[in-house]
Amino acid sequence: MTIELIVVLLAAPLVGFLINGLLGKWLKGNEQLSGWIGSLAVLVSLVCSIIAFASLHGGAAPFDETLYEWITGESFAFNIGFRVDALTSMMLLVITGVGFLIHVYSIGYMHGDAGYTRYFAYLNLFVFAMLILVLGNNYLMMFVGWEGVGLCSYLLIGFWYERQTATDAGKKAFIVNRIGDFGFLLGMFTLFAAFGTLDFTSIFDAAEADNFQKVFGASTLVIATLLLFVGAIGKSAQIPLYVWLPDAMEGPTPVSALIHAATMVTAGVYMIARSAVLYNIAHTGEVVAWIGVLTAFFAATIALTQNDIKRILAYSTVSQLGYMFLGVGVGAYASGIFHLVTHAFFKGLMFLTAGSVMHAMANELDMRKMGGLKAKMPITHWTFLVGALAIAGFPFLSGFWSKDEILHSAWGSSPIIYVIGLVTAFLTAFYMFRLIFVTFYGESRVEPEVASHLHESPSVMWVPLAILAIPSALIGLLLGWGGHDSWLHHFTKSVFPEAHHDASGNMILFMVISSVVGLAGIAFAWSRYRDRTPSDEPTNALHKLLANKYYVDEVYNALIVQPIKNGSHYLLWRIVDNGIIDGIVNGVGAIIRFIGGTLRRFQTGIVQAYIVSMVLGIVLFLAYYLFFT
Amino acid sequence: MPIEINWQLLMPELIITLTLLIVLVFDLFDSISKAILGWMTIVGAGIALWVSIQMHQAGTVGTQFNDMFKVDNFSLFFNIIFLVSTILVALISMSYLSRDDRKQGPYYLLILLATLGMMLMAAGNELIIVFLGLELMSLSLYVLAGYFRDNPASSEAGMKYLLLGAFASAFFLYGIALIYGGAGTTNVPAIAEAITAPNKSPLLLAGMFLLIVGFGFKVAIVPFHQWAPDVYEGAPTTIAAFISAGPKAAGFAAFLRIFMEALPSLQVEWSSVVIVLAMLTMTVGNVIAIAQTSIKRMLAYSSIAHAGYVLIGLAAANNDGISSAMLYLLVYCVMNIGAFGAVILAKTEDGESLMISDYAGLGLRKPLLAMFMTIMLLSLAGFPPTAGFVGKFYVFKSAVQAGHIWLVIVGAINTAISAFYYLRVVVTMYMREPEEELSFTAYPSTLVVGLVLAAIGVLLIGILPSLMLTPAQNSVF
Amino acid sequence: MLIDYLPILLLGLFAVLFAGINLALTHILGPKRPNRVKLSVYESGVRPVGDARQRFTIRFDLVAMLFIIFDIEVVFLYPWAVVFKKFSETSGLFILIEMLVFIGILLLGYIYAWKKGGLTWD
Repeated sequence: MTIELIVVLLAAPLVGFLINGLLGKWLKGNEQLSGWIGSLAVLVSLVCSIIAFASLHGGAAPFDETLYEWITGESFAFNIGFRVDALTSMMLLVITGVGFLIHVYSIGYMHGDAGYTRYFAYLNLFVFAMLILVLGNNYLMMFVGWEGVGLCSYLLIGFWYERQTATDAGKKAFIVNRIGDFGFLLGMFTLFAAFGTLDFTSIFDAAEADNFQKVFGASTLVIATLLLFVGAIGKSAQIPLYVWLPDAMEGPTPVSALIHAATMVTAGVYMIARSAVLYNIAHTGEVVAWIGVLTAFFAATIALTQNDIKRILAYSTVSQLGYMFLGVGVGAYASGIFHLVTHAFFKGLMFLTAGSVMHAMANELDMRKMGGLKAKMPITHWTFLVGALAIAGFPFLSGFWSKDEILHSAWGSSPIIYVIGLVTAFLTAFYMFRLIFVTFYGESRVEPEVASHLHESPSVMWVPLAILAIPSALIGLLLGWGGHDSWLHHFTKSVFPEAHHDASGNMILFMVISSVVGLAGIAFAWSRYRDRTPSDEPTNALHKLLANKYYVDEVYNALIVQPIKNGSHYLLWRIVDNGIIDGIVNGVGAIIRFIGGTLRRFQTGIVQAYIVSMVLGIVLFLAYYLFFT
Repeated sequence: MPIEINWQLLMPELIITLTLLIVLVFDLFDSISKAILGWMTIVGAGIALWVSIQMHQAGTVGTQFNDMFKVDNFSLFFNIIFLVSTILVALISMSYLSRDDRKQGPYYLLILLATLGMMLMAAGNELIIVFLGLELMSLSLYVLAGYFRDNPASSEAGMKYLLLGAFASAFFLYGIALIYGGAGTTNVPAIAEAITAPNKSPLLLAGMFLLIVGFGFKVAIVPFHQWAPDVYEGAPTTIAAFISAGPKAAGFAAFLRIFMEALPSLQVEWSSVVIVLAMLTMTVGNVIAIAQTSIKRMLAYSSIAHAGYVLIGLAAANNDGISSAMLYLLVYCVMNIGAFGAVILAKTEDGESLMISDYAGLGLRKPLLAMFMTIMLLSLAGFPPTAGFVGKFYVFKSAVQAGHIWLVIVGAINTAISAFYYLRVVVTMYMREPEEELSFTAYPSTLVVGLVLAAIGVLLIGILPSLMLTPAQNSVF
Repeated sequence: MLIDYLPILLLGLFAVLFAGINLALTHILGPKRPNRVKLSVYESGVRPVGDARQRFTIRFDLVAMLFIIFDIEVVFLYPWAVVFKKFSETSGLFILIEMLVFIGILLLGYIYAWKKGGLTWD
């Protein structure tokens, strides 16, 4: 592995972005070309990622090299450097692999959109930022990527900016993420204050060294890791900052698949896995695990009653991200990353199939208006089914392996967490198959004029679906066979420290239990929704509570948004702003205006006046020189 | 006695002289299209730039003409700054002038003459040579400022610049005379040797201060800045870009060399004044810029403020200070010409867009132009990852090293103030609706090429600072 | 050190005082009997006609400038001619060519000024 490889890997999407972004006007007539340029750029990155992965797999040492120094000060240096180890190479494969398929899929999906080149420019820029995020060998570069993907996410959620809801959702995502980013930033400052550097290796080595404990104490690390976790909560949509993700579905569906399912939202998990050394020393994993499992359960219950396909998938993503945090929280870093990988494939797949359904149904998302789509869209149906079975933990499909590892590790940490996780697994299987039965089976409830156009998607769309379905089904088996002794664990052993809680209990038993729970969920869904439409009106209080998403948006609105609005209106605007600040500003303004007025008198435009003031200045300075020095 | 001339040392200057003569001859023939003169200027300056870079990399050092002319990495680095500015200005000028064919010849001639004067200033190892270069540059600029004779504002700008410049030159010359009186020589190293005695004669102090006045005028330091807004506003926009870039760098080149090499033993005396001037310049420039409604005047005051940032490097008076000031000047020249270029690009059929309010809604209707403008303004304001951030960072760092914490604090506050008026233009472009529909003229390709080069330069230095920082560090005398 | 310049200050002061006192004395002592002829600008000269502040054509300046340029050229030739002999042994040809180049450049400038109409007086 050489630095050139990494540079090419990184530069390809940037070049794609520049071509599509700057030359978009000339590409407009030929949108296919624009799409293929974007896809090709990611394909180049994918090839580079595979080469990097192969060399690591072949036993090469992890790559960690500084490309150049960006800014150097007296006691610090910020470097542009890259680190490619087992963890990074897994992320690279996911980002470029899933990313490439989604780019190709988008060529068909975005067909005819006015902002076609803009879309591919943003998408390439996103891939570039995401690659920076995972490739950086220090927290500063990670932060640059972190902000970059945030920006692209904002741009892509609000892609159809003529729609008020889309721009609102974009703004919501941006603002909620700012809260998390602020935590990340503070965490970074804390680390810098304690270690004087932001390089991963330097920080981890120093943290592991004994003298660090003596000099700074573990509390610094506790604060730093918790602050970093705040960043992860924002970016990866965990309680209490998950509210932006369901709204983010306003963006084009491939964007939801790439950014809000497969890659960007998992950045928080990656960050914690990357900082595994720190979390192990600080013992803050427990907080992560609890937030994770509660989010998983909470989001799964909301998903039970939603009727909008993309929203169900969004809540499901929040829930699955919770699983990942549960995994890294209990110290099973490899298992958390394992679930990240499998989830990227099957959730990406499901979003794309949802997009395929939307494409055929003229952008209809309400599944009560669907039903019986299996006949008209067989490929879409089968691929979706693969994804759903994978997420539900159907034996030997990928979700089964990764989720089971996490639950197994959770048992070693705390049986309560395990039980909540298991219940969530049941709920997951249930809501996913509720979606399947209502959408693809039963009577067709499609409106007649839509039904006449109902068709399978074009090949440029269904081919990526079919390709994605294969890893969605099998990747778990490949990576996870053998549980804690699997290939993945060997591959990532050098990156992650030993877990605190040794997994105990019979692995096979756990597998059987979770399989049964998953199958029970599927069966329950079959019994209820095989040939029934979800009712329009919630029937009981619990249902109503869930259908309204626990009123969290309303509560936030009442507790945070409205008070801030009112506060800003009455307190800040009327009193502070109009009274105090305007007073100050007007005062300062008056002073500056006075100064400006005075100064303007010198700027008369009359040359003689300029010369007089110049001479006066000279005389004053000369007098100072001759008589006071 | 034999005369030996090392032609290789003089290559960049000779190339520019030759280009100048060729342009002059070609301008004599009416049958030749005058558009070719601009390209000749670019090619000549390009060759000189290439030669300067080669010489800089080879670390060429030497003096010529009885120690009056000194070629070293310092002068070569400044040659690079001047020639880059000249090329960029020539690029943005081509479409600006093409309507009036007749005027092109003298225009490029004067630009080349001014460039030659700047190169003399940077290489001057002798106060008289510096003065000669200064006058060669200034006289060309006076004419260029008043180049549009039928435009009263332009004539006024030329006239004002001439009168005030002549006045400043007189002070400068008086300073040289007094220094000659005090030190008995006008050769830069010889002056340094002559004034090692503890007795600092008032003649030297007065002479030194008059030199500060002379340079202060040329680089527009408060309180000798008043010509700048009037001249920038009245002069053709391309010339405003030119005056704000190369000549300012040339003034600082001679300023740095004379004060660091000839007057190091008076450092206690001059550095306190330079600190005061730096604070004054930054603050006055930025505060008045806030109140401006004309974009050219705003840029004029902003360029005054930037001279203050460069002075911070001089005030630090150490190697890092010099190299950071040089880096800053390079960055400043590129981004300022870029900003003026964007102003030229924002031309409507009614004429140039000169008021800040004219830029409302540009972000949607002219995205490419708005992007250029935004990059340049962000760089001027000093945001990462642009070159402006790198420049400010290293200037501030050198001042911290020298212990001038207060100076850096004032500089940082000023950076915050300046962000206000730079970002106001960005906000106007992207968030305000235009008051009336304006019809823009098409983009001239040479202008776009110039802007693309400037934007690439600004971003490249911002992302890869060592590209220019290392050469600057190798160029300290 | 500043005290060294005291004589100059005294000299200046003395000069100002001398002139001032003389002016004041003549003003006080001299008899004043003004009449029309005495108050005219040139008491025994040509009678003034109109205002002295007249506009005259810019071409005078142009010709003056051109004159100065070539005047200075000649001034440069003198020292060159004086030291020519000193160098003629070793590098006479070189400095001859150098001067020819100098004159050549000025000639080019002259042609330029001519061609651009700097010498026409219409």
